[in-house]
Amino acid sequence: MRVLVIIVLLLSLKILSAQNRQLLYNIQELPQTLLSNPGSVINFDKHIGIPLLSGFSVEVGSSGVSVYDIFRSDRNINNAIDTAISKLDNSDYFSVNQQLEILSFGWRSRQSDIYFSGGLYHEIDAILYFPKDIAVLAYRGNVDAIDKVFDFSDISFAAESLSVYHFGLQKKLNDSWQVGARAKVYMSVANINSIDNAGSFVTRSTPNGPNFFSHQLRDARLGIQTSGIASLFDDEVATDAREIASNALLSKNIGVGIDVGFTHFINEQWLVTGSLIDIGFVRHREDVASSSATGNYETNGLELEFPAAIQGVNTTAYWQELEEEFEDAVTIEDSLSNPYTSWRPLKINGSVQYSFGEDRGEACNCTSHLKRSYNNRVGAHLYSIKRPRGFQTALTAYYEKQWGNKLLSRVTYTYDKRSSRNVGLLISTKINKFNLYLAADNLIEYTNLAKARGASIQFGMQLVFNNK
Amino acid sequence: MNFYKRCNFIFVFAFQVVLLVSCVSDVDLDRIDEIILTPEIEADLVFFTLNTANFDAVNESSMQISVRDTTRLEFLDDAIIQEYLQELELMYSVENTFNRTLINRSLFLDNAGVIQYEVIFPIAASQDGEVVTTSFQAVLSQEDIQGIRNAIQLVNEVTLFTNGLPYDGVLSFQSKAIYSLQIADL
Repeated sequence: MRVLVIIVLLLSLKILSAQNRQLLYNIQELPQTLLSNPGSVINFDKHIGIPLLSGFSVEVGSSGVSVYDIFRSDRNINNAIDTAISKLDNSDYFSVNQQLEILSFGWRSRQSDIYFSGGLYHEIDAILYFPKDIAVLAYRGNVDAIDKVFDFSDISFAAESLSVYHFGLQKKLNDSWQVGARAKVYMSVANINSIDNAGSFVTRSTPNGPNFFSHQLRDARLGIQTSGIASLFDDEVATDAREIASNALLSKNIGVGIDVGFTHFINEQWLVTGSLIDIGFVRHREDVASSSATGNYETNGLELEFPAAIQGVNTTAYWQELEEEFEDAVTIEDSLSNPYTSWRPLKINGSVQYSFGEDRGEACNCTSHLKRSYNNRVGAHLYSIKRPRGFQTALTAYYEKQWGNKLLSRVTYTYDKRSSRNVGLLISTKINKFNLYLAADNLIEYTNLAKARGASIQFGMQLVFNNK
Repeated sequence: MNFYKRCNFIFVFAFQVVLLVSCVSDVDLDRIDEIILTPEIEADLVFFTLNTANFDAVNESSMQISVRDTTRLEFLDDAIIQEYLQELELMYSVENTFNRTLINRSLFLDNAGVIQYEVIFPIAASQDGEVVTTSFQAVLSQEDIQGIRNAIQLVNEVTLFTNGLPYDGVLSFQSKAIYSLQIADL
């Protein structure tokens, strides 16, 4: 409990939004719960996913505006964009995350009581922070922003497509603790990022200067790195779909990572969980490209010198000199050979859960380490993901009910920067060994999804087995 | 229908209802074609300082002396000017201590040296060596803007009317432009 309180205190400093699996976290009946906490409680002894169908999730979100805010049919779109630019700040973002499980399997060792699980999934993840200053400069110009500093650090985005091979184990240490870990190998298909940009542009009024203004580029440091992308735009390199698919299975841009997690049983009804997901990195060596611009520059315009010798007969190369001064002052570098490292976005989960409503009609499921079975669970789940501008956090309250051994439902309420009325629903049903689940959040917005600032949907199907 | 089947039915039905009522309405994604960026960019143009020596160096009629300088403005050939420029204002500010009337001419020429657009304004004389500031603003018509699009060189000429009398002073010239752009078809 103290661990959870500390996590809450640390992360609640900045409650933001996040890509989240709040509907699947701590679901004992679903193997997918092991992907968000390898030390999670599960109540089955073996599982095998239906290839390509065992788990699919997609989430799209924006922290500041919805599709309706921009594209509403009763308003001029340019006015809507202008309003949005005023409303958004540089901490607002647009994000997409999609995961597709290709293979999924797991089994409990009869000798050691360790649950082994593994598989392969493909993930696409992208985040773009709203570049407020750059948007203002591009959309409105600098006329009403003389002496305003336009900050290049507003430019921040990252996107990646990768396949993840994983294998993990979960083990009960004693009656109070259960832990798990998962090793991962990342195969990057494509990556692009532009983070840690710095510098500024400002048009200073100069009442005592040689001209009206001084246009200043200060400590500019802009950069972009890509892998797996440059060859797509190179006419001399033929890249076909088979090569991209090949990279998805066995890429030369490889990384490693680990997930760790635990469940602590306070008593039979209370438990606390926590996990760290994707502590890892990818090293990009193949098909890499990078560009950067660094430097300082200042100009007041073109200074005419009226050389007496020419007196208008010939032109003086002031503009060319200005271009050369700029090129000398601002270094622009392009490279097709600089390897780089990208860090996976670390996810942190924490939860506290209370179970009640003992199921006296069902036999004890001893693999869950709970001596009794309960039909109802309520809990709070804290989720946080590390993004280029810091952690984005979401807080979820949930109520889960087991309707016999065939149907499970969970209702969630999630608060984050995107929404204060995010209600989600999970339905999981089991017919003999066949399990099917479907989950979606932001249900209140489903009457007009265009008004939602985020929505996610998850579904999957697999076979789950119990030894007893 | 037993209890569990009823629950199963209720939740599946509820989910189907949610999925059925889910829709995207009151939005028109085709409006993306209507997006127009309309930035107004204010930027310095040319500046210079002239003193007595600049005029002394010119071997011309003693009644009036003209100094001029010519430069190419390559940015006039950029897409910003050629495709997106909708409005253009030129603003000048001149501080003068010469005790003579002066005239400034800013000529925008094409590659062949033909004048495409011209700005002419008088610069007020100083009476007793005090700094006199002259401001001038030119708001260009669409025809004028087309002239700017056709231009690639700028000649700036300052003429000092001496009337054969001694002259002395300093002239500080500043200029800027406000480019109102309209960028569509993004």
